[in-house]
Amino acid sequence: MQPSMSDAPAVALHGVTRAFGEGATRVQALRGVDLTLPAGELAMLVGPSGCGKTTLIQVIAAVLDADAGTCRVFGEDVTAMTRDARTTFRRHTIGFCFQQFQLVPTLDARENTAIPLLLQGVSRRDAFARADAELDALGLGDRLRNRPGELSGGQQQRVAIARALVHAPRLLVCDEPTSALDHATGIATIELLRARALHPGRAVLVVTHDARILSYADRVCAMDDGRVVSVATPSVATAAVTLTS
Amino acid sequence: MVRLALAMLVRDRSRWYGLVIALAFTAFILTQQPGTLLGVIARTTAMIDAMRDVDVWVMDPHVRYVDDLQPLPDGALHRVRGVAGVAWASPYFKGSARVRLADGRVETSELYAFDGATLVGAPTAIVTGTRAALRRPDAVLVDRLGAARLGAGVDGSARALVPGDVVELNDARAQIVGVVEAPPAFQSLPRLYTTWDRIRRFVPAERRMLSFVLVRVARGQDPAIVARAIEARTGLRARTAADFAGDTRRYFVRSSGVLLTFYVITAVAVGIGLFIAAQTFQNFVIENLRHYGALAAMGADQATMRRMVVAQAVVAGAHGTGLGVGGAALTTLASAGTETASRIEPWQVGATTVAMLVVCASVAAISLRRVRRLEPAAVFRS
Repeated sequence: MQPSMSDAPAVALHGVTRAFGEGATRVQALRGVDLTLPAGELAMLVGPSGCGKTTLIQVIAAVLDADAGTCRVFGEDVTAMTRDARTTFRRHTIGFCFQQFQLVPTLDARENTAIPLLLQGVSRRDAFARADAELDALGLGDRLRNRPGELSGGQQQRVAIARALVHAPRLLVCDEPTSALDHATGIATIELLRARALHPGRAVLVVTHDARILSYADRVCAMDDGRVVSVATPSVATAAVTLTS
Repeated sequence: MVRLALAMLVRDRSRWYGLVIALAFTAFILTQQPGTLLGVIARTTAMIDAMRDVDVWVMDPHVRYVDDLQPLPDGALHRVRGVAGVAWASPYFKGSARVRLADGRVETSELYAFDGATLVGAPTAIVTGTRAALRRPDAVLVDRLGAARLGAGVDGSARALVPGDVVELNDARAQIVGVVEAPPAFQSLPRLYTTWDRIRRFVPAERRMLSFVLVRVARGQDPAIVARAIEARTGLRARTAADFAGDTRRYFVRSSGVLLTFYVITAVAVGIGLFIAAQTFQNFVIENLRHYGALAAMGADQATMRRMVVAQAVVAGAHGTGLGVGGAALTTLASAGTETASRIEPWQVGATTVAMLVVCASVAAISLRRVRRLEPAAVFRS
C-alpha cells in the first residue's frame, strides 16, 4: 500500500541505477541505491569524488532519469513521470541551491530570487514582494537591487538560498553549498539553511565534501562507488570522516 | 519571465549594443542599397517622368529605351499629328555634343532641343536666367551640375557657368542664357538645352534630327489606344510614357553590368550583415545557456523558454530594424538632390521589416534548438 503524501518519507529510493556512456567508456554511476530520508530533517550526502553523489541528487531532484529502480519524493514516483510532469513537479516541489550559485548576472537580487515564483505564474508584483521579504529575512534587505557582481560570495550564496526558498519547496536540494565560501561564511550558510528551510513536512538534502558542516545534519549518508554505504548520525559520521582524513 | 528575458538581453550592454548594431547594419543595407539601386534606376527614366504633359512617346521602331537614339524622318512629326486622338505633337532632339571650354579642354555633353513655341520637353526649374532668353540665336540653357563642370576653365577660375558666358558647342558659338535644374540622368554628363529651330546650328552634320515625337492625347482619350493608333497609322513605335519608362528600366536592369554588380554587392553586404547578426545573437544565447539550464532545473518548461528567446530576438530585431531603416532614411534625405540620390519607397520599409523578421525568427529557431536540447541536469555539472 502506498503511503499518503502527508506521511510519506521525503525521499525513498529503491534499487536506483544509472550509467553514463556506452561500451568501453561506460561508467556505472549508481549501482542500486536504496535510501529513505524522512521529512523534517536535513540530510547530508558525503563521499569521495566520483562516488555518485551528484548523480543521486539529480535523480532525486527529477532532473535526471534513472535507468532502473524507483525514486519517490514525498510519495510521488518521479521515475515514472513524463518529462513535462517532472518539470511541473520540480517547479512546485523542489528548491535548488547550486554549487556555483547560478545567479543570472544581469538580474538583480530581487529578480533572481523571484524566478521560481514567476515560473509558477505568480504576478510580478507579488513575486517581487515575496522575494523582498525572503531577502530581507536573509539579511539582504539593503541589497535588493544589487546584481550578483556587486555582492560578496557569501551574499551571492544567500541570494541563491533565497531563490531556493522563496516558493516554499518541500524538498531543498543543495549541491556543495559551502564549497565556494570561507569557513565562517560556510558555517553561517548552513545555519541559515537549517533555520529557514527546515519545517515539518519539508526536507533538505545537501551534497558536500565539507566535513566542518556535518554536525549540522540530522542524518549523514555516505556513498562509495555508486552505493549508499552507511547512514549515520552526525557524530558518528564526523568521526568517520575525521579518521579517514 | 519575458520581461526578465528582456532584462537579461538589454542589461548585457556590450552584447546588446553589438547585437543591435549588427541588426541595424543589416536593416540599413537591406533598405539603403536597394534605395540606391532604385535611385539609379529612377535616373534612367527621370527624363520621361519629368515630362508630365507627354502621354505618348513616338520613336523609331528599333528604339528600345530612352537613350537608344535612332532618328526619325522629319515627316514623322506631321504624320503623328494626323492621327485621331492626338491633341498635339512636338519634336524632340536628344544627342551628344562636344563643348570646348575656355581653357581649351573638350567635354562631351548631352544636347537637347525642344519646340521653341510650346517649350514641351523644356526643363521647368530655372535656377538663374530665363527660358524667354532662348529666343536669342545662339542661346542655350545648361543644367546646374553641368554649369559647375563646364565652368571649370572660365576666366581661369573654378566658378560655375552663369548667364552671359560663352562656350563653343560643336564648333559653334553658344551663349549661356540660363541655368536649370534638370532631372537626374543615368549618365552624369553636362546637359545643354536649346530650341528645335536652332538645333541645326549646333548639330549641322546630321540629316535626321528628330529623336522623338512627344504626344499629348486629346481629352478623354486613352493614351494606350492612341499609341496603338499611331503605330498602325505611321509604322513607328509609340509607347505611353509609363510603358516607355518601364521599357527603359527593364533594359538597364537586364543589360547594365553596373546594376548586376550592384545586385551582387548588395547581396554580399546583406549576407555579411545577416551572418554577423545571427552569430551575435547565437553567441548571446550560448552565453546564457547555463542560465537557461538553471531555469530548466527550476521548472521552466519549453514554452516559457521559447517565449523568452523569441522575445529577445523580436526586441533586438525591432531595435535593429528601426535604427537601420531610420539611418537609411537619413542618408536618403541627406543625398536628396545630389548625383548619388537614393530613394526609399514604403514597400522597401515593409520588405526590410519582413526580411528582418525572417532573420530574427531564423536566428531564434537556431538558438532554440540549443535550448531545447539542454538537459537540466547539466547545471549540476558546471
